[in-house]
Amino acid sequence: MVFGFLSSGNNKKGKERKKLHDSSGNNGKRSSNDIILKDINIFYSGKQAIKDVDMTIPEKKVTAFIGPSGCGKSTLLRNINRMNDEIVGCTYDGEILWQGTDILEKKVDPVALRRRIGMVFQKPNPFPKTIFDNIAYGPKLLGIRNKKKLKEIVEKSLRDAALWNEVKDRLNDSAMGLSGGQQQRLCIARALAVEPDVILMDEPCSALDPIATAKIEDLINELKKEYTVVIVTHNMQQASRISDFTGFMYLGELIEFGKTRQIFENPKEDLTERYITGRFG
Amino acid sequence: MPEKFDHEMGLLNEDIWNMGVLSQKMLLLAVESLKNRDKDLADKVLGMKEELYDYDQHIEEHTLKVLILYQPVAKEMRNLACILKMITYLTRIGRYGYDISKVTLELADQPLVKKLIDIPNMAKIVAGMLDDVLKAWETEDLSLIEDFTERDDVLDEERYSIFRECLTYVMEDPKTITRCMHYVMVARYLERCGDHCCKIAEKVVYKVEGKHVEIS
Amino acid sequence: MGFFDRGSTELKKAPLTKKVAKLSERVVVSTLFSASSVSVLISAAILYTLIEGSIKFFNFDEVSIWDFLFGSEWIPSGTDPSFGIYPLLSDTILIAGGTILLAGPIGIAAALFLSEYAPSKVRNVAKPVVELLAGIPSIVYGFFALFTIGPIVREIFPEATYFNALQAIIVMTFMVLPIVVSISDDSLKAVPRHMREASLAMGATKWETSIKVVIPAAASGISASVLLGVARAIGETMVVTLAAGSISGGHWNPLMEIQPMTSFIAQTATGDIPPGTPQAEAAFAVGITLFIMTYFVNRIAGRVVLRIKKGSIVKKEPSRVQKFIRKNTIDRIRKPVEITKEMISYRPIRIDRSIKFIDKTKLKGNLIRRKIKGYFGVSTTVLSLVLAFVFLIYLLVEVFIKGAGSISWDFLTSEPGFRVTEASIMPALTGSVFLMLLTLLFAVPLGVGTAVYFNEIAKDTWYTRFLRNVIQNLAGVPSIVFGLVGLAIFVRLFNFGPSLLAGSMTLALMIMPIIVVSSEEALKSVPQSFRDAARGVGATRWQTVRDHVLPNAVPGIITGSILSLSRAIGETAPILFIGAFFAKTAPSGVMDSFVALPLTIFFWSRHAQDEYHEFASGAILVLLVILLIMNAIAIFIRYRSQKRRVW
Repeated sequence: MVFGFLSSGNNKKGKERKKLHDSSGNNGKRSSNDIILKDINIFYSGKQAIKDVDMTIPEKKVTAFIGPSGCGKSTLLRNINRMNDEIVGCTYDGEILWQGTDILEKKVDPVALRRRIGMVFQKPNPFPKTIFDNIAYGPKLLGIRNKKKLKEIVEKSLRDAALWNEVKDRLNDSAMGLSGGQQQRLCIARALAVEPDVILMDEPCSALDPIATAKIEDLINELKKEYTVVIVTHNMQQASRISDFTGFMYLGELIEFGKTRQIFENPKEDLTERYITGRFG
Repeated sequence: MPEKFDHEMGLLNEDIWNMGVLSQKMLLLAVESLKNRDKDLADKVLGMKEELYDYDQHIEEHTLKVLILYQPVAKEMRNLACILKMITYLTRIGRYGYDISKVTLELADQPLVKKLIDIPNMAKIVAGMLDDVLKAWETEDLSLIEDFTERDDVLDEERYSIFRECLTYVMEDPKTITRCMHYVMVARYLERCGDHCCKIAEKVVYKVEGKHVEIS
Repeated sequence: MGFFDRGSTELKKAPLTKKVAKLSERVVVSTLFSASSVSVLISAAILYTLIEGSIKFFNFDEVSIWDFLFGSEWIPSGTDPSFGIYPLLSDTILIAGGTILLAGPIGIAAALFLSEYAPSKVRNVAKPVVELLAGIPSIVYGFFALFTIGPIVREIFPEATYFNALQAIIVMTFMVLPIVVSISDDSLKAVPRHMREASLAMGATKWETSIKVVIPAAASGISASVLLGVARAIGETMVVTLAAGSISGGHWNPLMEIQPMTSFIAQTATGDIPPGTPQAEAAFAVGITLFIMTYFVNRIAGRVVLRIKKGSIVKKEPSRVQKFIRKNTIDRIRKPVEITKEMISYRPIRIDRSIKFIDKTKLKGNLIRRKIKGYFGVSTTVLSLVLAFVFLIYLLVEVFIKGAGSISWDFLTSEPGFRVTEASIMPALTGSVFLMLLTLLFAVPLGVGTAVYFNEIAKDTWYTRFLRNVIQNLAGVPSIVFGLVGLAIFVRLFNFGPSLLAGSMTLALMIMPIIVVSSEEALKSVPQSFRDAARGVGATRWQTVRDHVLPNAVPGIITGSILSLSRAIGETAPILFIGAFFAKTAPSGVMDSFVALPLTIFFWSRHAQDEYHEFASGAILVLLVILLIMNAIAIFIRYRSQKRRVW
């Protein structure tokens, strides 16, 4: 990656230069599909886990959260589709504006929200069902009963998750028999099956080997053309490889947020620099 | 991890510094030999080329190794990027010293057209620039290279005046053509060296501030 | 000499080859080993009793094995008796099936509420309350079925007879409920959190997650809980004996009188049947049938429970058998998937989102429907739990109202006379106390010894695994079978007669497995580091146990022992064959005949005169108070030791 950056820096000198000094954000443009977090505070049974986070997650880009473990990056991610509602004793305030609504408002139904904002977890967590049933689970909930339609959805989702070729002959086998990387792509396919707009990923590769990780990263790269992807990772190289924007979090605060290249080439905050160069603590 | 990385970087920094000193020495000794028509000195400079190339190759190797093994980011990455560019410029500067020494060998048997003043002067300026830019690189003190544009302009003017001077000599006496042509070339080399110093200065600014700037 | 004077210690001189373990230690260890092996003897006794009795039974001229297995009539008395097990079997199935048909759904729903929806405060209260249902003796349930549920049933179904299956089923539902709830709850809790999150994150409601993901994932545990419930229902004696009647049916009508297997065995004990006749010995043949049935049900359930305890609720690896079957069937038919170049290139194709399958306009209505379904479902689970509560409260209130009136000083302490007004539970009360003390004397050393041997001394050999299996199986043997064993071994074989000694030994057999399990748990709660530390300074195995493990496990062991004793004191079935219903005085020696509280309750409940039913209520009240006190003591000890615990 570093080499790639070097050569590209050489080739398009003038252009890159101007871009680099551009302020962070989505090239100034704002879309209603951006996810705008305003003054987010999250508490676990009274203890503050996230403190005054303000940021704009741009549409159809990959945004990564990095930071030491326990810094609250997963917590923040889980608030975007209100998974934190499921945790007893977790409270939050602030606003998350998306498509013109504050999705943290009580009147927003988290069930409806989660169909639009899907999530993939750290450990591949397929249901102990067949591959087909795993994918069809979501559409079935949404009332699709037509077998043919379900089949089409399953195929499309699996194709989009680059898993179709590997599993098309054993759709009725248990999903537990897949390898870790395949399971994780199955989970992505499962999330895609309900046609979300945003996909949240909570350390999706931390349980996978490098090859499987590379596949997922390729997939994410493809996904961002159509979906907004927010990913939490503790692997900085991964963040630098796949994300367009990176936020560095520390002790519940968003220390720095900007274009990934800027964060890794020239971080503004000393804390960020110390973290990414491994001179922390 | 950072400790081991720091150790590697220490070695690299030392090498760069030595290489800078070497290329500066080559340039200054070459000009000295030209001024004194000292063939021995010129031969000595020619002999330094190998060492310079060794440095170039070794440092590049080492830098790539550090990049691959540690995948540094932020300032560490910028420093390595800077080093990769620096060694090229430093090699070029040393190489100009080599070229000037060759000129010395050719002109040693002929009398000087005039006492050489401007050329050693230019060499002094270049050596000063090289000194400052290496110091700036090491200490990250950018004030040392603030006036590089002006210094580069001085070099340009000096080169031009040498050119004009040589022109008058040539018009007066065609026998001086060969020598004067060589002087003009040497002035041109030194001016290029100044440019290289400016280029290094740009990289030093990138290392320190992460900004791409243009000097001269 | 330096500060550390190592010059003149005795230890230094001792050669390393000399065994530190003394003779006394070897004696202790072998004693413990023997204690643990007693369970084998018990199992052997059970098998001996049942088989010997059955052989005797089948040796009668009137009896043939063929008729027993395939005959369809069970007329044990009369001039032309016929012994076909079918009616008893069908009645057992009716009772157990009916019970589990009610207890299964209610229990699973309640467990679902407890594990998925209940706030921790509610859960902390509700779970012990549900488990309280398991602490009430079955005789109390029987009484409640006959005198409280019975009239209600007859009101709703006027065609129902006085004794009927339905009232027994209703009451047994709540008896079995705690088993279903606590094991289902455990297995639901064991479903990994990420499974729920995966479902929720896809936009499933909580209810959909529970039904479609959590329950299927916990299916094996839930089915185990249901199976254990079935085993309990099959083995239950007192409720059916009191409330279901004594005419074997085979008619599958829950509103009529029936007689399951346990009930028949109990009937032979209550003196209506002359001993030495085929009718009396039939109890053993029925007993062996009952034993086999419960053995297999327990066995299957036990395996699943064990697997849940080990934490592998979602099976990833197919078992050896499954692999074998798959290898020989599916894999032969299906061609192995060839890995093609296309498959290896994983590069995603261009994602085209213009193809949409989901009709967004319909989603809103769909969501509302799903939400309503969810509310409805959750309400059902709450209702199930509430039902259990209502039942418990109703039972306690009824017993109190009916029984409080008959309690007086005379009722508790005077010697009973022959008139109705002179009824007293004095002999039963003292009998129960003596019984309890003797049982304690027999069961606790055996149980604790076995537990210590298993947990501290035994290595994992085939023999210890076998012993564990034996003890696990003993825990599932129906109590009435222990009654038969007591009768055959202690009363007849050892010639103790119907004495306190025989009764307490029988009860000791029954509760020993429970004491083993609870003691083992107490021992396990002592941190391994204590043992390592003691062994590290050169203590022998037994010294470690004696000085460091047992002292710390004592509160737990006492708690467990008291709880299992409270189980023993409430049991009726095992001493049904041994107790003397008409004892009028307190027993004066271990060889004396005796009567116990549950026996008295049983006897009075079956009395024709209504006054005696009131007395039965009074006795129940006394029994429940005793149980309450014992439980309170146990809880107090546990609480205090937990508070004092420093590790």
